[in-house]
Amino acid sequence: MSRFGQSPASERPRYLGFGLGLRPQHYADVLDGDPDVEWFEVISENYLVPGGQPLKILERIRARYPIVLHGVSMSIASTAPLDRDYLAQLTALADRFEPEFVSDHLCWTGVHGINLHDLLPVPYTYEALDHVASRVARVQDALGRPLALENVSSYVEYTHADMTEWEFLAELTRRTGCWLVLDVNNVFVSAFNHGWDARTFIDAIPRDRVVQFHLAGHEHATTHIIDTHDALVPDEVWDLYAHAVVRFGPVSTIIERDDDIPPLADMVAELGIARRIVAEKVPVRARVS
Amino acid sequence: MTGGGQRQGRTERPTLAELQQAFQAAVLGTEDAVLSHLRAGARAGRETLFGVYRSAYAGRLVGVLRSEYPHLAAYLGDGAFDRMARGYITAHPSQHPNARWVGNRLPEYLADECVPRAHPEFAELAALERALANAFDASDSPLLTLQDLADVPPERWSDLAFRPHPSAARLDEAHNTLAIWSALKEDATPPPPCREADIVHLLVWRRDGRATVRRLGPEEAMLWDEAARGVPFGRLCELAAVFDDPDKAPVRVAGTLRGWLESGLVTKTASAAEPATVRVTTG
Repeated sequence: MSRFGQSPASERPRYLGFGLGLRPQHYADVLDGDPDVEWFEVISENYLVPGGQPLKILERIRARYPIVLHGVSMSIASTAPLDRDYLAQLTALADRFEPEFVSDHLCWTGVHGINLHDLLPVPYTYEALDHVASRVARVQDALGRPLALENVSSYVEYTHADMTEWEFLAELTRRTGCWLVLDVNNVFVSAFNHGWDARTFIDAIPRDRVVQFHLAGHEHATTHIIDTHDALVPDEVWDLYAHAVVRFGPVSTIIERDDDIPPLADMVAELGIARRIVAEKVPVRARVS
Repeated sequence: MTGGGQRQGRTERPTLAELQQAFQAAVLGTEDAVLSHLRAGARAGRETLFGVYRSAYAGRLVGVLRSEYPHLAAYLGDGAFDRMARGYITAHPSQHPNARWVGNRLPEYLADECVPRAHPEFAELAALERALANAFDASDSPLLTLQDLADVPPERWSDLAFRPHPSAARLDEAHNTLAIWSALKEDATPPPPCREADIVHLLVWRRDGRATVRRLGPEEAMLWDEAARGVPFGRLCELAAVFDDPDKAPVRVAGTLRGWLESGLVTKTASAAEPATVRVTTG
């Protein structure tokens, strides 16, 4: 039997506080300064390289901060075979840098040997649930550590879904014991695009399975929202974050920025909004966990 | 759950594999069959919403290529680079999980496949940028130092062989590509492209964490290429003797080797023989 696949009782990753997605533009400020950031989420693929400065810098950062390895290429929902080479490299990276946990997305990125380098939506069917659950179990065995999966932003839904996205996520975590990264911005984006209620999504996710929140900005295209990660976290997403914080309590939180990246100090200041929301919404006793 | 635990209309709907194949084909622009399996959005039609994936695909990969080949992009200009990059992506869809290697075949594409035919310096510029990018995150390896060689007894020098650092790559270019690249790097106007009278020999490697390039003279290029093939010091001196003044060949080779070591171009190799840091050939 899988060590993790059928083991919902695998130890919950610890609370890390408030962090940022690590970006090369901030390396110098992180290493030379003492930013008010408790941890960093690291894009795994940026460090799946043979050697050189990126890995040396990550070693220095890891010596000072906890990290989470966050990937974009696992393609957990693809019907293509699991990429064993990728998993082996990811496992080696995790063994070297000892992240708090490893995460990726509930999505697929391509089939038939092609990688579209996008986080593509899953049809929320029983067939897909069976397929993804079996692959989560195999990935957790390959990694030798638990996996957390993140909800993606989506622009389309499939006509023949058997369940909602939140039902799918809840059942997946029940079946596999995987943890969840709740991207609050992604919930907001998808809810707008598909016309469902973002709070219904959040309220349906099991309280004990979310180990991280993501926050980000997006681009409003009037009839739909595009998840660009290139802007400040908007008020509507902060409101939804406040709702999530009330439901889930203290959960490790980061802000993600992938384009138009501002100075580190600006991102640290924006992270202060998350700190204030948690201070307002979560009782002091619950924050000490 | 809404499905009651049973698949309904199972025979009328695609399998997950069929759906993903159709979705991918539509992103790549070859067909639209997947649209019949998609819902309209709350405020936008399914064509509009699916178009987000389609435009994001090309836009993202063109962006990756632009960051991997910044000077080629500047040299071509936005519009021409965008058209060229889209042609490349169509001809060579990514097959690697890491977008870092999306553009790995771009120099060959520019040299052999691109329509309309690319100017020859485009491929050379791309090859130089690829070599620099590969040098940046090539494998780490301990460096051989002058002190390591100081411990080698004189009678063994002739058999000493040297292994290039994993970041090192040699390029031969027929055009003034290095001058073009250097100007672009300084954000200056590049010189008009021209074919050089002689082949330009370049050596790319990582020095102190930074990818760097320098031009090699004909003799040094020959010595490097031979050394990289495992030819030992004694034989390198013989080759240099044929290349130029034979009396000064050992001094020239020793000086060249010193430059390589000081530049961090030679890897310290483990060997059972003494000194432990130098690989000694037997033949």
